[in-house]
Formats: sequence, structure tokens, C-alpha cells
Amino acid sequence: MNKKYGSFYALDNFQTELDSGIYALLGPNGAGKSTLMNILVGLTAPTSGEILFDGKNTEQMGADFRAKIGYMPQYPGFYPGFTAMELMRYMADMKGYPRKERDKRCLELLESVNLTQQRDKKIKTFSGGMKQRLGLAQALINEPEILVLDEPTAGLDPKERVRFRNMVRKLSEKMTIIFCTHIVSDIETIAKEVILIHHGKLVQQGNIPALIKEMEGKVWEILPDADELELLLEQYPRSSLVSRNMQTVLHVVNDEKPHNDAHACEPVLEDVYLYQFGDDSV
Amino acid sequence: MRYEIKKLLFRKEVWIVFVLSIIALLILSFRQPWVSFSTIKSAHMKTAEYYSLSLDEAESKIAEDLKRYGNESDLKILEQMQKSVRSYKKQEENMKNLLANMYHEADHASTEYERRDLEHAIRQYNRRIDYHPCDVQQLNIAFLWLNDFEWLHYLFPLIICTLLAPLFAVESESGMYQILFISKKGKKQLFRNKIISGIICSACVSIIYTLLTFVMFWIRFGLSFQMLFAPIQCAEYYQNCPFSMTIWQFLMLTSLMRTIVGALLTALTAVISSLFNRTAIAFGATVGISGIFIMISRAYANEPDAVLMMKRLGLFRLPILGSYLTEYDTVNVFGYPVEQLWLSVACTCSVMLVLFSAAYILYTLPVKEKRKTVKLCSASKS
Repeated sequence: MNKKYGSFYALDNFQTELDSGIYALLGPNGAGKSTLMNILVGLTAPTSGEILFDGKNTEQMGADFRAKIGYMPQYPGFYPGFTAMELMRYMADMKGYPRKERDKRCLELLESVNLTQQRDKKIKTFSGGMKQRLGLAQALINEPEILVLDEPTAGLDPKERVRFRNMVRKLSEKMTIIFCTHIVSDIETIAKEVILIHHGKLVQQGNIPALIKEMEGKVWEILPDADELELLLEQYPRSSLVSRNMQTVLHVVNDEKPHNDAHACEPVLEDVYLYQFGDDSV
Repeated sequence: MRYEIKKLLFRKEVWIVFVLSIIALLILSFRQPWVSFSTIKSAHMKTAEYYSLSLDEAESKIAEDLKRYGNESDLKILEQMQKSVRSYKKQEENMKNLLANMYHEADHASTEYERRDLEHAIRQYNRRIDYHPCDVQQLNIAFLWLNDFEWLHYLFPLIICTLLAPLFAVESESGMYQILFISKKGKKQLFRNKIISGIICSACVSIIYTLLTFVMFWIRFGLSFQMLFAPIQCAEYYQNCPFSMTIWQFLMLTSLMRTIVGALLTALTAVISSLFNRTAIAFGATVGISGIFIMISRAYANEPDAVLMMKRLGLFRLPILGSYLTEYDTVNVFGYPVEQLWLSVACTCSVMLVLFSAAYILYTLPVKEKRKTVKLCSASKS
């Protein structure tokens, strides 16, 4: 699939296949994640290529495909004058959910995102985190087969983040979840596979252990002198400072040993991210 | 649908405009009209008996009264009444003659259609005669007063534009389009709901606005409930009206015409919002366009031809119903005379359909996404 804006390729020959489970879409800002999401949910049309769902073209499926999709945008903007319950009812109607069971379903979902007490409050009084949770609740109304989450943890506090992750993990048993983020910690414990995207191209796709295994021998730790530190940081953009035993350790992702005193260490998913996007993301 | 209506109604600016309009209506309806209405009303009460007399008897009674009243203002009123009674009596005489002619013509009508048409006209005239001259005079003054308020014609589109401005822009402005457009019912259903909601809101506003205006001036002039069922021709301003209708029907027709204009404004808002996705632009453009058309529709015969052509189209002129009920000499493409009102309705509906189609095409196009340019930074050794 390709998406062009003038001469700029937002998506460049992107191709992938997804099954059920959580797929983390990782990439720096401007990598093409949002464009991919917009095309996936049908908000934008690709310049060339197509999306197939069980072998059928989603554009031709039209409303049938839309009925299978749940989408939570990055910054869900809701009507400020609506209450949470009104918005849920409205979305249930727009998603063609049966009228008789509508209220029960809306209440269940509000309960699952811990918004039962705020159900009759106007959305304009909601915090960012509450809006995110409401965004997830509305995305689930139609019991989607594909759930697309665009930076869903933005604005959530650590406790809400954990709660959110657990909820997503539970949901993944029944559906395909595409979790778009640039926060590695959000997905490293729950994702079935990670899709790395950069400059509109699919860079790498695989399960987390396999991706981490590929990084073995490429992650180093150095205990630098104060004089050396600045120089090393400049020299190795794919590096980060970590604190270990009250000491500052430089964590470097590099194909070759960066320093005589460097020693190889166990890679984590964040190293995969740094390896692929380090130059852009630091 | 009710959610679409809620989106429109639950906005502060709408209620501010509603309240201000009602206050403006109240203030202006209770201001003194160009003639001292209370004086005329009291004079009518005093002179009601004149109408029951024959013309000669009435004249001598007035002359007697004139001698009896020393007060100058009373004298003036009585002089006015004398003129009024005289004119009424003459009119009554004319109507009787006219009716007699009509009866005669009806008896000798060449076709069934002509006979029924004349009988209908006779019924209308008879009904007009049924009303007390005092009430008819009162009605005349009331309608003259109502037609004197030009701002009423501008206020209605202003209310409608304020109400409808966010109809199609609210999703883009709030970001809701991202989840609504991809829902099962999608853009097409949303468009349909919005159009129907816009028309429903316009209909409600037009009915409330028309009723409110009428109730105010009905109370202001102390008109009786029965007068609602009088033919519109009772009011001198509409005596040549080609339509057989009562004042109540006139009221309904006014509401209907305002609803049609409301629907036209819905279509216009839909096109502008689909193009610009901004409430403020939709509001400004619809107010501006409708204002220009209203001004054109009020043009006089000495205006340039282009303006008069535009006037003939009658866009946004429908709420000014009064002007249609006095003008009906338009000729249609087949050369037959037609009432200008229906020509304007047809023209307005055609333009409306074109606008709705354009809005539908624009609204259902894929979402325009701006190219996101992200400056990628990389550490440089230099």
C-alpha cells in the first residue's frame, strides 16, 4: 500500500498481515503510523494498494467492514455538552447497536472503564484520562473484531496505564488489536508482535523475543568518566543514561563495541526501538 | 436525530440570540405605533354604533356628536371616524353590488370550474361582511403596523443562521469525525440526520417565531380570537390577495414559507461547512448571502435589470409573505399568469436541491488530511 501527498510518501510500499492478538505499531513521530491507521479505519483512502479483511476488499465491504472496526483516536474530541452516557448512546446508535440492549451495553462499558459515577456528567468536566477511557469505551460498543488504538495511554497516570494495559490484554483474546504508540513500556508486556515503521516503510515485524534476540551483541554498557560522557553521547546517538547502583551508566546500542571498557548486556525492547530509530528519536 | 438537534440547541450563543430576539420583539411591539393606536381604539369604541346605521343616519349622528364635543382632540378623532365610516359604508355598498354581480355570473357560468370559483369568492366576501367593521378597522391598523417592521425579515434568517452554523462543522471542530465517519452508519446516515434535524429546527423556529410575532401583535391590538378566521382580504393591505385564505391560514403559510427558507439556509450551511469545516465561516457566509438576497428581494422597479431578475428568483424572500399576497401578475414560461409565490417556492426548492446535492458530494468525499511535515533531528558531530 502507498500513500502519497504530492511527492512525499507517507506510506511507501507498506505490506503486512495481521491475525488476532495485540500488534504494537511502533515508530517515531512522522513515521506514518497515523496515516496507516486512518487508511486502516477508512478515514483516508490509499493512493494505491488495498486492505483485505478475510480476503475481501474493505473499501468494497463498506458498512460491513465499518461494523467490525472500533477506533480510539489519539486525542478523542467529544461534544462537550454531552454526558458520557449520551455520547455512548449516540455512538451505539451510529454503530447500529440494537436499541433494546443499548443502555445495558453502554453501562457495562462505562463500568469497565471506571466511569459509572461520571456517566451523567458533561464531558467538558472530564480530565484527559477520563476522556481517554471514554474513548476506549465507545470504541468497544459494537464488539469490534479489529480494535485500533492510537496512542491510547497519552494523558493517563501510571495507575491508569496499568489498568488500561490489563484491559487491552483481556480484550485481545477476542479480537485483533492494533496498538499504535511510541512508548515502548506500554506494549512490551502485552504485544504479540511488534511492527516497526519508519518513513512510511515497514522496517521490521516480529514477536518481542525474536526482535530482542536479534539485538544480542549490539547492546553495551559503559561506566564513563565525567569528561568522556558528553563525547560518547554525541558519538553514539542511540544511547541513553541509566542509573545503576548509584552510578550513571551509559547504555549504548551499536553494532560494534563502542569503548574498550564497554561490556555487552541483555537487550530489551527499548533497545530494538533505539536501534531502528535512535538517530531520529533522540 | 435528537442528538443532532441537541448539538445545535445546547449552545450558549443560540440561547443568547433567542432571548435577545424575544426582548427585541417585546420592546418593538410595545412601542407607540406611528398613529396613537389607543386613541383610535377608543374612538372605534365610541363610534361603533355609527356602523350599524345607514350612511345618512351615521353622518347626522356624527354631526350631532361633533357639536356636543368641545374637546379639540375628540373633534379630530370624530372627523377621522366620519371619514372612516363614510369610506366603510361606500365599500360596503360596493361589495354588495359586487356580490350581486358575482351571484349573477355564477348563475350564468359557462363551466363548472368557473361556477365553483365564483361561489368560493362569494363565500369569502360574505365572510368578510360577517365581521364587525370595528374589528376590520382594527385588523387593518394591525397589519399596517406589522408590515412596517422591516427588521422582522432580517431577524428570522439571523436566528436560523446562528442555530444552524455548527450543523456540519461541529464534528471537524471537536474531532468527533474520526469516530463518527467510520461508524457503521457512517457519513451518509450522518448527513441525512443532519439535514433532517436542520429542517426540523428551522420548522420549529419558524412556527415559534411566527406565532410569537402574531400573538404579540394580536394582544397589542386587542384583536378577538374570531378574527383569526376572517379572510385575509379583510385587511386592506391584502384586499387584492389572489389566495382564498383566512388569517389563521396566512399564519400557517407564513410558517411554511419560513420553514422553506430555513431548509434553504440548511442547504447553504451544509455546502459552506463542507468546504471550510468552520462554524464561524458558515455563520458569516450564510448571514451575508441571505442578507444580500433579502435586500435584492426588496428592490423596487427602478433597480437594474439584473437585480430585478434576482428578485424574481425570490430566494430568501419567502418569509416576506406579504409582498407575494399583493403581487401575482407574473407569467410563467408557457405564458400563463401564475402567482409569484409558487414560482418563488419552486425556484427556492430547486436551488435547495442543487445545494443539498453539492453538500452531499462534498461531505462524503474522503477526509482531507494535511500532510504532516516532521522535522527530523539528528545529533551532529559538528
